[in-house]
Amino acid sequence: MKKFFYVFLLFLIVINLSYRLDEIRGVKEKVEEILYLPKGEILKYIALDHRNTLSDYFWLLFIQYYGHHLQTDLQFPYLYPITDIITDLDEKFLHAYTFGSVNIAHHLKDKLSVKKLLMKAMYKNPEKWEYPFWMGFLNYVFFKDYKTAGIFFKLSTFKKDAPPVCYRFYAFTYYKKLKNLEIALKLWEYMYNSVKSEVEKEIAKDYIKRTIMKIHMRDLNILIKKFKEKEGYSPLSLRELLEKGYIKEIPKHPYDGYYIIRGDTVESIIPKR
Amino acid sequence: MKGIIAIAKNTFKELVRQKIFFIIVIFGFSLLFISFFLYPLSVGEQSKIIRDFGLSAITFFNTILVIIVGGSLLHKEFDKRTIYLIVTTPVERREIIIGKFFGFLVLILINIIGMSIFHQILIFLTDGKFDLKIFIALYPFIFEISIIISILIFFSTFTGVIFSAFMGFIFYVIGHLIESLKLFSEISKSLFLKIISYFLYYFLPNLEHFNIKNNIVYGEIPKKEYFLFSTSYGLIYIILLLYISSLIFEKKEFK
Repeated sequence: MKKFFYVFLLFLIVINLSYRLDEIRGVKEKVEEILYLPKGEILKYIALDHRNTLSDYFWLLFIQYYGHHLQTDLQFPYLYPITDIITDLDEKFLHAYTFGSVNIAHHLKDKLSVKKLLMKAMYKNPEKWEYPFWMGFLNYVFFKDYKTAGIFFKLSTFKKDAPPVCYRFYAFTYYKKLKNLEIALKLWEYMYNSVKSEVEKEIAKDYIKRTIMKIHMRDLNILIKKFKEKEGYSPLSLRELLEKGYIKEIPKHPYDGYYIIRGDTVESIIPKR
Repeated sequence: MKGIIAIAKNTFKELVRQKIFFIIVIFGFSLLFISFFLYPLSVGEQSKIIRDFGLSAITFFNTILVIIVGGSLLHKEFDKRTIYLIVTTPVERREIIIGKFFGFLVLILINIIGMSIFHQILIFLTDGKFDLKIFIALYPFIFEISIIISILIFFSTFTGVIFSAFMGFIFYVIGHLIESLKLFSEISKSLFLKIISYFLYYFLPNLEHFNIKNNIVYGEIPKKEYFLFSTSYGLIYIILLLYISSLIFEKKEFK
């Protein structure tokens, strides 16, 4: 029993010393160390037949890096290089491509990196419908490049096993229903229902709220214009629109805020979090 | 045939007693177990990670085990001088080679099956169902590991333990990198280099032929032709290596 106690005590000391040494040395984030490694194409050879496992290991580091910066400074300069290494090692890693590209688009607004990543995905996995669809999706909702979005939605319909959603969004773009907020909302709802992780669901949820807010404001502005034409003056509040029968109910603000009429337009007030 | 079975049984019993065997097996099981606890960090990829880590643990630790233990398969008999006793019995020398091969292979197979069952339990705890497709990925791996055992036996017939183990490791690395040799031969401008590299590419064991882990993890099962050809390739390579080993061993003089 005494011996067991000594062993246990020594283990505790070792753990404590290791923790302190980490602090003294100021151990950097491991993910940044990945960037000092050779490119994924070379790492592939070093990993021999364990490329997937190495890719998974980098994925775990990537998630830690992402989570850490999401809660601190919201700075993600290494999103693309790390995703690039992960997908070089495991060319079929669908979630790394989609998670990486959504976050690059969302946080960095970097169209070129998104394009590079998804073009690689399409080149390495030509049979998959997900990648052209995703390219169309990101071009539509983030970069407002409706023409490119249409091309990629169309491309996704040519793939084997393409689900109805590909045809649906290709049809929207084909019939020139561009810049349509309802389509953007449908795309975000599709993303919300299809992604696996909570992080992506949160991003989708936020964009769903943003799009609903935009739809509300667009509709209210149209009604204010109508009101002014008919009544000869701008409404003072939404209640006035309600009382005079222009709206059936005051739209519920998706961020629990409220809409106010200032001059001839409606403004959205979002409470500070 | 009786001689082969007797040698195989004896090899199996001897290997089971080795401590290194248990250490490596415990490491393998530990890695499998650790992968189970990684899932909160994996953001929706727990199924993939548990399959990748599990398959890697099974293949990597069994390869390490083969390389470390396999080099000494024949040399133990020389060191303990039991080889003198064996060669005086009616057992033929080629039976010693084949018996050693099967004794070791059976042990590795039991280990692979044990680790795979444990892996299936972890998959069940994560996904709520077993994934028997994983066994398909391990089928070609059995040929890969058998080729490595054959290489180790081959080198053991005329070199020392460390050199045999080293060559086993080198062939394992080359076997997985060999596809770049084909790339080299395709881009090479010198005809001589082209011929040499093409020859080496087809002559050396291409262990990537037995690596379908990535496909299986993504649910892609190769065609029947793949299994037919990879099985034939593996079997013929093993027979070739064991046959050459037997020829060398039969000529060997014991001092």
